[in-house]
Amino acid sequence: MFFIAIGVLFIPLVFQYSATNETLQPLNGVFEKTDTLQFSIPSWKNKKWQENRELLIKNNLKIKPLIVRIGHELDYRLFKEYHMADLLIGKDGYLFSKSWSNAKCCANNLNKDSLDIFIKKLATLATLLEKKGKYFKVIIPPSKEELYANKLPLLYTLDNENSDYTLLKKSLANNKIAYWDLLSYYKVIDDTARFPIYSKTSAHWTTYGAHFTLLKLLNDMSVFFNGDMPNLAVKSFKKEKFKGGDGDHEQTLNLINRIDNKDFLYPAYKIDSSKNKTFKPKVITIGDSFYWALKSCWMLPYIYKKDSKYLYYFSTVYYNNDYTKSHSIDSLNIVEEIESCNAVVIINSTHNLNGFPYGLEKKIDELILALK
Amino acid sequence: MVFSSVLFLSVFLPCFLACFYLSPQFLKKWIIVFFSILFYAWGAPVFIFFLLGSSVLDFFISKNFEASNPFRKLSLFASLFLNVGLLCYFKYVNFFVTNISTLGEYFSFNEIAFKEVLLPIGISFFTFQKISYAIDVFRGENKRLTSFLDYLLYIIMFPQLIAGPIVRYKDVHLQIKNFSSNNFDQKLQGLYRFIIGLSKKVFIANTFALIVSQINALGLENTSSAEAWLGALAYTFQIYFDFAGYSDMAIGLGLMIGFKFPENFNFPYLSKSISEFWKRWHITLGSWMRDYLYIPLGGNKVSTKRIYFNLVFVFFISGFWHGANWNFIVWGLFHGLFLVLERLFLSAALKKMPVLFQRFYTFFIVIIGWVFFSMDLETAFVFLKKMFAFSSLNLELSISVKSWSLMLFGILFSFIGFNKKTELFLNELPFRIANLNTSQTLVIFPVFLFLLSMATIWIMNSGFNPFIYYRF
Repeated sequence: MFFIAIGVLFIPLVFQYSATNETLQPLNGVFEKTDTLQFSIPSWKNKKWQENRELLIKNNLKIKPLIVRIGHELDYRLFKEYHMADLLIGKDGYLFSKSWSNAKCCANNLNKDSLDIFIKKLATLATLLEKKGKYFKVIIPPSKEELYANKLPLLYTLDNENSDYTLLKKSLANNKIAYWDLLSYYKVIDDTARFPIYSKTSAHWTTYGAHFTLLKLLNDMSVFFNGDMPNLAVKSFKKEKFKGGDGDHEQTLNLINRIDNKDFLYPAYKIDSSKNKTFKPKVITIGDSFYWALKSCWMLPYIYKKDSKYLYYFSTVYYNNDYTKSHSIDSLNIVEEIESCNAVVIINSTHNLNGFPYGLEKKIDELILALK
Repeated sequence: MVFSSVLFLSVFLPCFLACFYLSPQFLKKWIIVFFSILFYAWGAPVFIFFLLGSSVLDFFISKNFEASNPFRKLSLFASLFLNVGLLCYFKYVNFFVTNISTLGEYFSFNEIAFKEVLLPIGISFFTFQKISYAIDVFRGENKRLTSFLDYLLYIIMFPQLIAGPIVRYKDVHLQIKNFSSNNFDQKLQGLYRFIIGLSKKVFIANTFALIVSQINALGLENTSSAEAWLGALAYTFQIYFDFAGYSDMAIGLGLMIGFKFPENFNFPYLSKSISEFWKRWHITLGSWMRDYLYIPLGGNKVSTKRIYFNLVFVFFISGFWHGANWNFIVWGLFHGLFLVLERLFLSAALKKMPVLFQRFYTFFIVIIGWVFFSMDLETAFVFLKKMFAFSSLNLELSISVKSWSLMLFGILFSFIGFNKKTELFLNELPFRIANLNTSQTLVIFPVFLFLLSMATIWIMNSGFNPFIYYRF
């Protein structure tokens, strides 16, 4: 018995020298990286080398992903405890973002006065864009916290008439800006959809959920451009376990077993780009992470012009044909980009408005002046 | 390197045990010494030479302790001077220089410029063992060790090297001399004991430590009375499970390699008086102080006033031994004061009270004592003021279900030995478990294996693993 227990102590070492890097599923999220410190007499004397070795052993053991997942699994299943900063466990296994839940019920991030000033300017910009034949739309997808408010812990279900979302809606309406508040639209879809449009265990809408907005937006844009745009149509749907961002909260929890075991739907599309549908607009999209699910259909490069861009939080620039590389907004001549584009779309979910409009307010005067 | 670290559990311990059990008998002592040197050198790379050098010197001085040697008294003095001198230099010189400098500044002298002296890990523990060896051999209670390897084994055996238990020479000299493979029949018991200690440390002490750190993070100004009490209570249990857990691990490791170290804790929070507390808390320090300080000062065979002085003096030294700071001195004197008060009248008064009240009194005094122990003097007084202001009963900490469950288990475990029978049963538990029949072992062994695996998982998963007694 004694030697069996000693054998157990040897497992990490055995694993270290026998397992390949692919043996275990790596951990998701950001982890402390420890660089190797070369041995030297001074580093040994001041214990820096020993401390580095201890950290290396602790952080780089090949068995660590398994160990971490076992620990997280036990904590989650036994105590509903999780090792993730911005997370909230709701009813029926729903996971929410704590900060977004807070923004829904209790906390204000937006300042009404400065928001009103910005939205007024945005209205001017929208008018100028339309005058120049450019498409403009503000899209507000509901956050999961808004759509499934009944699944939130009791404390977060309070209604907040002064939430960021309400302030934004009011300000947009007062300034007659064309915007889509998709909350009621998604409530109807949710009542009838047989597959998740928002996953129980992700922060965002699913690929399937985003698909409705994608089609809605492209149809609207196509009408605006007289039906000249390539047409996106569904070829088929594929049932699968979630992939990518459809379980992002859950993936970052680093558990062994899935929490949400449902099937998810993944649409496959076809493009109709026949003779009269060859106009590919240059689209500048400004927004938050809800855009990633729109992009994940990988169809936008066939519909949008090559030099269309996505300005993530108005800080990082992604090109329509290559999402692997990003650039800083400072590298972009934003006035030139807006002047040369055919469409501007702002997409921002209901409760992720902390920091909105992310620096656009500093450029908007310049844009108005240029378009005038 | 602490026992509850990934490096120790996943690399050092398995490698050591493999080398130890696979090596022939004549090499086993060498293996222990070699790994002990590695263990100490890992955390104190420069001081290992100091430890080895002073041990060589001590060993040769101790050759003169035999009754026939005319220089035996001088040699004892030299040995004590060497060990106490080194302890004073490394542990107390910063304290004295800082205090003299502060006092000097008060009288408009310039601040004393000096380079801070670094404290070698475990110096308080191995110095006491060296003194124990010198005095026991000098008194003729036990024969001196003729082999330097044996002497080194006694001083630097890694299980007890940096945080005790303080093993008096008389406790182990026969075990060192008669070291043989027959001593390994308690290895399973040792393993169980080690796992119990590791569990105490990782699951319970670290949970209480998290509460303590959360309350410390609030800042003294923002701490409510309720939070101050929670903090004091959490520290009370943290230090117990931290130190008792470490002692269990040390005793367990000792048994695995054929040594039986003395017990260090026996349900101290069940004590009915402070004097009983010191028979149950850090028992090996208490025994050492009694044998090598209190009795040489005259013990109980002196006048009543002198006894009181001796008690206070011993506890002053005990406090100062824990750390070179005024708060440790006050903590020691605080306990000494209650020992004197108990001798004067308190003990007689308490005996007329229900046992529950006696236990409550002791626990209360101990909690107050830990406040002095855990923070500098100025902060301690402000903290105590907060505790007794009862101004705000707000508890704004978020404590998870897991933490509450583990803390409740810890509290329950601290008070479970409520009568002699239960106490004895629990103290003998590792021995009883190790001697179960095969079918019973098949049930109990997986439980311990599970605890060992879980503790390792917790350590790997968490960056929070403080150890209080490591700094002494």
